[in-house]
Amino acid sequence: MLAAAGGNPPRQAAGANPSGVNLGGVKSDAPLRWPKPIGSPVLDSLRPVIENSRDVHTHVDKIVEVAGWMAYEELPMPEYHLPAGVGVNDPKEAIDFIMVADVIDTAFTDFTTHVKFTTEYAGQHWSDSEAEFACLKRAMDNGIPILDGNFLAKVTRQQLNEIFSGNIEMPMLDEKLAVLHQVGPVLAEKYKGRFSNFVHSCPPRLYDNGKGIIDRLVVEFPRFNDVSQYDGHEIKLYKLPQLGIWFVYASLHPGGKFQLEDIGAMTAFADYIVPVALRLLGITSYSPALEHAINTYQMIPRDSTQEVEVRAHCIYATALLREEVNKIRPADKQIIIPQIDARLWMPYHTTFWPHHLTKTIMY
Amino acid sequence: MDTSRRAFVKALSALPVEILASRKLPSSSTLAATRRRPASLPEIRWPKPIGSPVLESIRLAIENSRDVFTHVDKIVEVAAWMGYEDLAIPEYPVPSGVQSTAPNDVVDLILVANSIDTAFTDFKTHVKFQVDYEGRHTSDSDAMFACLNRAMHNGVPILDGRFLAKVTRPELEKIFAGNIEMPMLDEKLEVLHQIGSVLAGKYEGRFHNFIKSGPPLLYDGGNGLVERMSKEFPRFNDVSSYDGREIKFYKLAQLGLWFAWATYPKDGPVQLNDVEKMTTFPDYIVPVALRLLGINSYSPELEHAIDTYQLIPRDSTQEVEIRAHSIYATALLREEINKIRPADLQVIIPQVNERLWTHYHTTFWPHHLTKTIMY
Repeated sequence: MLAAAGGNPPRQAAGANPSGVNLGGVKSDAPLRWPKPIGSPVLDSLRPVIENSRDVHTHVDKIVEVAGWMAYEELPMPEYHLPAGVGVNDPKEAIDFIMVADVIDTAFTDFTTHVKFTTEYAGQHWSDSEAEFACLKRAMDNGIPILDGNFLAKVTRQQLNEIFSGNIEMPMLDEKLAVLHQVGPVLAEKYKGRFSNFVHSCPPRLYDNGKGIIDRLVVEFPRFNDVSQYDGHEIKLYKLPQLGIWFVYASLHPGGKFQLEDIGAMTAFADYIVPVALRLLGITSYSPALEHAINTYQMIPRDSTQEVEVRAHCIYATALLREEVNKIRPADKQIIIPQIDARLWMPYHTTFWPHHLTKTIMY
Repeated sequence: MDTSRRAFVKALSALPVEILASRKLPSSSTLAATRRRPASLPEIRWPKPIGSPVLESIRLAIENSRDVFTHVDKIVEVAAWMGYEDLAIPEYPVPSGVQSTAPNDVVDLILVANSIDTAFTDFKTHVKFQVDYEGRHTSDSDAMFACLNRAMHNGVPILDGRFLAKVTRPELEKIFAGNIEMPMLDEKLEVLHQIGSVLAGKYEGRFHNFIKSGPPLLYDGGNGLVERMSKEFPRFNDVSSYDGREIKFYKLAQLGLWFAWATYPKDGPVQLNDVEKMTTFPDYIVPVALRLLGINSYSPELEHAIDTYQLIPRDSTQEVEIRAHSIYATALLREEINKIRPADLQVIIPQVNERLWTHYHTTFWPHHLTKTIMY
């Protein structure tokens, strides 16, 4: 999602480029440190990008330094909250709700005006993805079968516009409509209209030689096939399929309602915000050209080398940061990458530092 | 005080010191000895005045520190990323389970609880005080709130100074029935007798009457709320002597007022027209955050004492320096952060305090151990 598309003038902060070094185009002779395998096709696919990056660079020494203080933080498993009443004693409904919300979890800020989508529900003011949640719950309250693929397959633009009534027209409404028209028929035809039936038709694994939940999400629902080409290689990012299933896991696993054998194969969810956190911490740095483009709110085209590098380094750097953090923590406090992702995302998701702007349905 | 770390401590204390030593951080104590400020160096950087007698009083301890050092370059570096974080004023919920949600009652509860907000971990066994109440498992200060709620539910008038002035040890044991006897129960009993007597004698037994009887200011030439708390209730007179001079900390006086204010920031019973004069609340956790971020460093002796869980005596120069540098460093960190932020997102020091505390209050890194009723 697009959390804060700007409105602020470009900034040069003290220490904003802590390395102070332009590494653009300079290739180091030092061997690239690669994270130990975690069983993730996403992580495995990134190597051509990290090795050949032009505009984004990861500084392993900074990762070690940051781990030296971050490791002693709590770094809890994040707690996500569904709108009141959703999925109570009904894990299948929780899965349906999370995954329907996830398929349309794309920009909530108008790319032209930079106005953020907000809505009122249950006497409260909501914005961004929380506003999306509130709209979906409000639709459920009004008897609209928003979790049913049969409905989603045929929902009209006007209906969707009403479901997402708020301060402005829901950003990327046409794209969200197209996604629902794609996802709805698949659910209707193969899974009795419900994401929970899809999830339960999979083994309890993210990846399983093509049969895992993520393996199948990206094949059966093309909107989840978040891949890009880079120098002729296919780079897998899989932001929304991973995030959706992580959200399901974080919501249901603590109560024993959802198991995954390979949860450790989750990577960071490569979005707009985690790259900002890494950039501010000095873990990544950008070429002057990319830095300037972001600071002046220029669009970074989808699938451009710059966009792919921003996202790939986000996954690479968080994998290494998790390794360094775990070196310091005792055995009973070891963490997985999504805990790093949450730690970086939380304090910065409302930041006034500019993030890259890319128009896409993939995050 | 959060002390969940101590379960880990207990396991660690059996380890050889070499292993503990290997946990040193970059830019840690190895540098401390060489960074000690020679007298010939230029004036230290002092934060711009914020009208806080606390901040003004600590200068002597900063200028003459033997064991604790603040690195301004690190503050600038940390501000360059922390400045872009949210750093919102925390929205404290009304204490969970409170039986009466009338703001005056809630403020009374906050201030009574705050007066006994001292160690919740047994100093010998390192076991943490815990309570199950209304289906929730709580520990530390949450457990204290649960006990107070339980007492209110059972009709025990714990908000009333007339009760607190005479509460007996067995009664207090019953109020704080949990997994172990409440740590520092005798000290807490003594505190309650003291604040109870004052509240009963002057304020019809209630803290909110104390609040109402003066201007809505922290400091006001002796009539401010912090000034009156530290004067009228000696348990809040959190000061130490350092090289013959008085150093003010006022941790719990400031924290209680901050907590009460932030629970109802708009129009609650505690209004603070000079809330920007708040400093950090120097406790066990904020120093750890500053130490881990490299903003503070310690002499090898102090580092070793903390890492091996030796008690740092109350009012020792080491204890005073740890707390003074918390206040000094967070004041500078706030200045640097505000240089980066736009006008409508400027922060005050308690927001920085909150940021450091929340990230580290459950840390397994050892904090200094001092037995005191002041934090």
